[in-house]
Amino acid sequence: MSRKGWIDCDNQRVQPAAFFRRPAPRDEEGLSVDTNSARSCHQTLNKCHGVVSLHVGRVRDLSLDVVADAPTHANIDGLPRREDNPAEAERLASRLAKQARIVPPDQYLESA
Amino acid sequence: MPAAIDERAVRQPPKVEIQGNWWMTAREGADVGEDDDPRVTPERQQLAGAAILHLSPIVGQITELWRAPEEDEYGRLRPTRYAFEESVRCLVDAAIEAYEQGRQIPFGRVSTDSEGGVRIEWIRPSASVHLVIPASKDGARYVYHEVANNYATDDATPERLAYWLRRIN
Repeated sequence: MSRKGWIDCDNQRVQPAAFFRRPAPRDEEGLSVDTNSARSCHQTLNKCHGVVSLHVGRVRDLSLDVVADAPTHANIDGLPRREDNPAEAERLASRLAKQARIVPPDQYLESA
Repeated sequence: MPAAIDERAVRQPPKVEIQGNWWMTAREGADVGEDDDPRVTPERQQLAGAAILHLSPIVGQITELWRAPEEDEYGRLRPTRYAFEESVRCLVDAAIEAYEQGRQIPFGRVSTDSEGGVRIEWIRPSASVHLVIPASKDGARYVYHEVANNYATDDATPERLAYWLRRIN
């Protein structure tokens, strides 16, 4: 999670705001996800405010797909942009947020 | 460091009056700045911490973003002036609308999109409401609601926001 506001620390919940494709030309292939580990996900971002996990099967239950394009990277495919279909983009973002689970920091932070 | 004032010693104006004054001060602070000026006046800081119903914590989050770095690796982090002003205006007017119906604006979470538009999300197990204010007046602004299996977008007016927030406890 590259933004602090995407995680509700009080309720240990992920906000739908985390699951929107940015306007073109960004996120053309979908929503970028790390498929390696929580640690690699944390290390990929310059400033990481948390790591959340999604289950591929449950993502596909939403009629979305998870398409790998590198050994440690994939894109969630099938999400509309808000500009194209705001209601559907919001609904799917809410569903993904409900599915997402916050990974405890001790699973990806280097121990002292 | 401002002196502490015992609130019992001063006249307590009606909540609508508080919200009205608050809004005027917030606007004043936003109007004097440049488009990307991160200045936050002491009055606005004070008001963001004034614990006016649930409004202050939400506006406090918007103010915090207004003072944030302009960009991060995701995109624009700081709200545009348009998004800042419009989101605060919509919130305060919705709070007044709700107050007149004997209700309050519930606590919500604020973030910006990658262009500097403002999103406020009220997420509860039984219902969700999202206020989306774009970075500029050309973008789409709406209130999204989701109650059980029903969902749709609606006009982002204070009246519609207050209406849908009735579902949020």
